Amino acid sequence: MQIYLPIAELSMNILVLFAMGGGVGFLSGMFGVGGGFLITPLLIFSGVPPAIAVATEANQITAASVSGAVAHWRRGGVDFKMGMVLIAGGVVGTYIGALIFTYLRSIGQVDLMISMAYVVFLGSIGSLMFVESVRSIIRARRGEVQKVVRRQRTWVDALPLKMRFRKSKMYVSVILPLAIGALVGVLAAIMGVGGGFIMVPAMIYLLHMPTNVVIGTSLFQITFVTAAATYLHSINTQTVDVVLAVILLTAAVIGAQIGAVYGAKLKGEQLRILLAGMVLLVCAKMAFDLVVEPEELFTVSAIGAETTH
Amino acid sequence: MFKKVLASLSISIFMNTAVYAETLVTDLSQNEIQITSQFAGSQLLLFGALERHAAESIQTDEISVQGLDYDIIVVVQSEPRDLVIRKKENVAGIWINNQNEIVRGVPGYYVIDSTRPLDEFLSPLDQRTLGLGLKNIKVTNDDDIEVDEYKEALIRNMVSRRLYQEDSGNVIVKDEILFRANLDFPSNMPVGKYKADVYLVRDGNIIINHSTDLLVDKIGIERLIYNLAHEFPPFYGILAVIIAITAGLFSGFVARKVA
Repeated sequence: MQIYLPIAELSMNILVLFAMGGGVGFLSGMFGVGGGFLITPLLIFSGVPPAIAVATEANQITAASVSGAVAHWRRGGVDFKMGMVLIAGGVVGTYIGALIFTYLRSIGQVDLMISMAYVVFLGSIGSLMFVESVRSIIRARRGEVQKVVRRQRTWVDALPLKMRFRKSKMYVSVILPLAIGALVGVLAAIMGVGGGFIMVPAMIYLLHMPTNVVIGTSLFQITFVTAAATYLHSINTQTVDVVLAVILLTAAVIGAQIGAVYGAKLKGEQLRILLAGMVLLVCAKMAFDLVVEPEELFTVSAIGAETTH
Repeated sequence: MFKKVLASLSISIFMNTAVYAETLVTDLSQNEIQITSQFAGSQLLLFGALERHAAESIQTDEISVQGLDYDIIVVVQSEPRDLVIRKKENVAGIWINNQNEIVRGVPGYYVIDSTRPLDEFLSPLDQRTLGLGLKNIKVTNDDDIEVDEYKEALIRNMVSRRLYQEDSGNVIVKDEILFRANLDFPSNMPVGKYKADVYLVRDGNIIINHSTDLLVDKIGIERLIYNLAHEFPPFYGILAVIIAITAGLFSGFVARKVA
């Protein structure tokens, strides 16, 4: 069954889109990851113009993260003050990201940037996840318990502009959360990802936030930042396809619920290796497409798609 | 095809072009293609009739058509538009868009078909002056120069996306007077004004050119969404966010009820 996407201006099989959204939703429910970093490449591989894939995916992630954020908020898992600081940074980052996106689109280099960003981020995150999972499996086999390291004073504590965060029981400089938020904002705008895969480790290892508020606070930030990215892409490049977004988010929501049920039953580390493997596979495919001489060296596009408001 | 039919006629009279006049009537099965959410390409029938009037002096039942050699060419194209053609080059190991050429006034959609291959009945010069055939589409840049490499690339690109098609033999002539051509439009066809030209060729000369308009447009929700996105971007952006937030909250609510 075909569905015509009004912004992408192409007709796609709705079942394929459902399978894609549902499959990635399943994984995200199982692992608690956003899934944007998988759906965007899958959309690109299936022929959706990269710029539209990225902008639409930002819209879809808004839906995915808001339900998660609310669920965590009900359990008291959101540090709103920290969230606001992260959002402040995030919105600035998104704005910059959208400008970069618009400019590169106007000179025909946006596809390249998207691919390169994916190769770099998927490559590094996938490798880290892989190594980390293998290590913890080895540790588990040896019966070792991970040592709890006492928090050391680091360069982070030396930064000025400190602020008290009651919920997280922290007194830290706002510079680092602003910077983290901004980086995530840039990624949301140029890659169509929530950026949780960067933000969560950064909150744990750099900010030393208590783990019970990390996920909720990051989802809270992602909701607003991806909403900002959606809005800016709509204004700058008209690349958000709501029909595509609604199909993907419906499928992803269903997939995520099923995934969450399975995720609770299955063993974590082996699955994480699987996820890492998938991330690396997508990364490899993107890298392959960049370095292997394409069959067709020329691309044709309408001038209209190049100009911006 | 038409030629064969004509050749098989047993009537024989010497041809005198001066005493014949032809009228060509053509129409499309639809004058508008509507792109809806289920749009997956479209098929149209272009059909018409050819009427030959004998001059007054000749009695109609003695008409001879031996040696008369009609061919029909059908061209469907969209309004000309400006396109940018980019060329990838290997820079430091990766393939990136490194060169480009902007071409003006090129059809976004061009399909040509005829009773038999053009070269068999129309001179290359005529084909070129009338812009008939993919190789005769004008692909010029701002300096009015045609760059072969880019032109070939454009045609190759458009053909692979089925936006340009060149074929022959699919214009079917029946009983010497009726003709039809099935037009097959892909789902990625650009919206806008199109025209369908029908050329009647006799003895290597185009004697009639008849043009029919065709409109390809998004309708209903597809049109609404597209217009909102392009004419009221801030509103569209906010709407997209509201839809996403509502869907997210709703699904969270349903999930809690189910769990």
